Amino acid sequence: MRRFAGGSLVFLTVLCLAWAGAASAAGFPTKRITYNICFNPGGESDITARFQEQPLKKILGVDISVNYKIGGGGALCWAELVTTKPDGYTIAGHNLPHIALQPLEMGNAGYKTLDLKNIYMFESTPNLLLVRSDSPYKTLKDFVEYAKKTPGAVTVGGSGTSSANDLGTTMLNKAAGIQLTYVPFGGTGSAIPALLGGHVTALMTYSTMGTQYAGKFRALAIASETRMDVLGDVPTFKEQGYDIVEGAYRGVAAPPGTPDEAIKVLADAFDKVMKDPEVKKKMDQNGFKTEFMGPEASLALVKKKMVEYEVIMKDLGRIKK
Amino acid sequence: MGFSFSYLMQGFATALSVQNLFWALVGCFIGTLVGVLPGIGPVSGIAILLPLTTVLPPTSAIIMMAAIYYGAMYGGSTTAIVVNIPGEASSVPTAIDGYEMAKQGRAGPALAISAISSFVAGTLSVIALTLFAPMLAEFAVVFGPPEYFALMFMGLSLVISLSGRALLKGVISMALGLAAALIGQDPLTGAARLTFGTVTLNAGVDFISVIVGLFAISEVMINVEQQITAISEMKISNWMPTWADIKQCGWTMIRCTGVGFFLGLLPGCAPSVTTFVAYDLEKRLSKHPERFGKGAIEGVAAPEGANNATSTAGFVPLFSFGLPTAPSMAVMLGGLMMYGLQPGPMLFAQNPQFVWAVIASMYIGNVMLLILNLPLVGMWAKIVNIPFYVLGPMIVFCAVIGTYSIRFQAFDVWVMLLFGVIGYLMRKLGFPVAPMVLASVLAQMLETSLGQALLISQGSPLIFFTRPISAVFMALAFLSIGRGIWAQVRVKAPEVVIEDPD
Amino acid sequence: MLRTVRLRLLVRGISEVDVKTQRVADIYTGWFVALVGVFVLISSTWISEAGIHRLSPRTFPHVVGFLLVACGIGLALKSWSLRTEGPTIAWPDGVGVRTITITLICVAGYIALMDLLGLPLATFAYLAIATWYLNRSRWLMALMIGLITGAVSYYLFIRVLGLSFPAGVLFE
Repeated sequence: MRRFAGGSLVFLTVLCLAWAGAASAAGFPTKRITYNICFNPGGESDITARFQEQPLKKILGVDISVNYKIGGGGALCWAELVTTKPDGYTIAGHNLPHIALQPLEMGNAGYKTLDLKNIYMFESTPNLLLVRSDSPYKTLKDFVEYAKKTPGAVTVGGSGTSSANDLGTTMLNKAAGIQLTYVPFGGTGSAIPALLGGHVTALMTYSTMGTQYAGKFRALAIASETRMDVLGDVPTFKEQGYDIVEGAYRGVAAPPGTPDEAIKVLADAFDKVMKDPEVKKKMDQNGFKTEFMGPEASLALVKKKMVEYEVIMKDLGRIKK
Repeated sequence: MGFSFSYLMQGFATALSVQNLFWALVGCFIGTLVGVLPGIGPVSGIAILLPLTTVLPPTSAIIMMAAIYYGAMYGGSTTAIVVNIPGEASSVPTAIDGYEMAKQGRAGPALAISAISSFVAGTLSVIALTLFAPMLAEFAVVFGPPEYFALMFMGLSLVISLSGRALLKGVISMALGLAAALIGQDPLTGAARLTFGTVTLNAGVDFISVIVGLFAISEVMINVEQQITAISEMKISNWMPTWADIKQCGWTMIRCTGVGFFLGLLPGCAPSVTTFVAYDLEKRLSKHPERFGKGAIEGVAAPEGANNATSTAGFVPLFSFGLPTAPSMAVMLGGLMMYGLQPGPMLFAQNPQFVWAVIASMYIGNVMLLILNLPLVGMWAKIVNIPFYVLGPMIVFCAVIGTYSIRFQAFDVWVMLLFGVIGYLMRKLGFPVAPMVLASVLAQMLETSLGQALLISQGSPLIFFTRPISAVFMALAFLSIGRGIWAQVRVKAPEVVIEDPD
Repeated sequence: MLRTVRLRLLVRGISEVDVKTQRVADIYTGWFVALVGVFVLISSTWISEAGIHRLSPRTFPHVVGFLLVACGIGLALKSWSLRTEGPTIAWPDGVGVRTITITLICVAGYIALMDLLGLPLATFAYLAIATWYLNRSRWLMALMIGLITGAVSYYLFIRVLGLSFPAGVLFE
């Protein structure tokens, strides 16, 4: 009996080893990739990831598993990313200016801007000021006038702290000489119900919400250089006298120390995905502007923005000079 | 999107096709399996199995995804009842009474009533969904940050009734749960709290580790210490509930459906909250509240029904606004988008046949889960008879891999072990465990809503009392707290939890 | 007078830890909880207040810390003022303590070695050892359970489902 047990033990072990040997790793990637989203479901990062999921799977040949790590305006997710094993199998969506602003403003955000290893920057969305369709403010002028009369009482919701929405509100405050109160939400996905229910007066959100909720919301201004095609009748802040051009760039990043080969494979995959005509069509329809920045280009953008934002933040009084 | 009988019938026709029925069955089965493991809940389950669904046409795919979702919910309660491992926070109240029933040899009736209650609640909720979706959607956005805070605050006041006679200990347990939830980054500003500069603590303590530790590990420790031979020695003779049992739960099922459904409409109100509220409601309305915590069958029926009602209600914002209000919904929406469906409020207005097919499949899914699981009740129930020297280590195994699979970091498993020891000590010293769980579930939403509400009110706390809905909840909360303190002050006795805590 | 009495109790308590009854246990626990509260209060002074907000990130920690201190002291004092001793606490006997300790050590070992040995191997080792420990005579069953579960966890979790469990030295 004992010998039988011993024999079967050896046999099973050999079997396992043989199986393991047969299944050797070919190249990167060989198993599922986890794609972390740092904001609430329903938001821009989420929507884009949904568009990318299928094409990425086709190109990389492995499953993409979308995960949520919500909190701190994205800080939670990025702080966790920098401690994750850098084997290339975990990536997270990242946003400018958030990754530049948060370490500046928070002191210790749990990560440093340049720790996040850039893979790709695939889109940008300018800030959009929205009110409900039944709100009394028909133009930006009405809104600003009202805000002048009631400093601090007008609430503007947005996604995250030290984010594009947050910064955009501060910029508007300075440019128009008003005092809007910014209310941070875990993501655009949770800010929308707040406006639908009238709990905040307006939203400083992204262009995507202008297209999606066209029937329910009225867009007062968009923070881009020129009007967006898909939001043709929304005037820019610039047109209306306020020199505000701000929005979020979105991309994906990997933990520091991820091998360059893995980064290259991922970057190429994302590049192909963003150039896919189907994907491009969906992005345009939904109010996104597609970008095509690989690892070097996106790192250059991050560095450039870091310098720019430090100046802006000091100027706005958000950080000490 | 209004109610349309013809569309509903069309939907049934689609959903009842052999192919779709088959995929619904597969989904239910896989979902149940996935739900049995702690840490791998419906979200991860759907995410992992999403690739499988892509080979199917869109309608079949989402039918299967919804089935996985329901199935996972059911699987979580099975382990909660049989081995005291709540699959997710929403199964915790189920574990409280369900496991007691299992120890008394009544695992069968507990599992069965769980299935029946889920079925009743689920079906009623789907009917409400089909008839009233547009109106319900309006209700969903009525809650803003002040209302959420008031609701969560009232939720915390449930600690009073969950603590029995040991109020001070209950509050301590709650405060410890809040302290554990605080570790990490502030949800609004991102400031690091109680992290001592370490990066691991910066991500916080995941509450799955906490509840698995508090329930499963501490239970194993107690059993090992007492050297029990098996969780229950009693022979499983009848594994179906008696008619008396079911009748007892009749009103319970109606009430928990109501609570679960209406709270579930609110974006961000997770099943973990609604199950506690439903459990507490039953306890307060019961003529013999001391039975709760010792194996009261309503204590199993209420959270299970509420769970199902909440998950159904979660579809309302999705169908009406195209807004997924929970990660599980988003994963399903993502599955949809792979078929070229545009997100947003127009999504379902433009594809009504799709929506109704999904709704029809929800009815069917409920029936299917009942049919699938009732016969299996006998099998699951027998688990409590397995000798503990085998079962104990297996429970630990499930707990460890479940906890590890949260973030694939050993840290979470260590936390689980720590809370296992804490849970053991708490039981020995007579501290109720439920308040700790409740606190860790509510903490983040509580603080976030408070912060947002104060920004809206420009710092004035009066906002919670001037807005009608929030005022009602605050009043309920203070009433509850006041009554609890009064009851305590009147009696001078050692702080003993009269009912067995868990 | 009250202070000296309390101090004496504390000193006596530490010198002869005789936590048999509910009342005594509650006194010790109460003070311990209050200590935890103080700890929370002190640690929360290091929280940064940066950013624009109405609710300081320090508020909640302060409230929680305060609650812990107040309730902890409240519990200790309330129990101290009771006349009855309350029920005795069912601490485990020597055998019980040993069993629990070894069980915990096994689990700790399982977790610690998981990353090194990998899920399948660590699972096999843990289950075999833990099961055998709880019932010495059935060592073969322990071994078989360990083996089967180890194999299943490898195939199901790592190969079929592709979850990122460490595969360990044997399978990497």
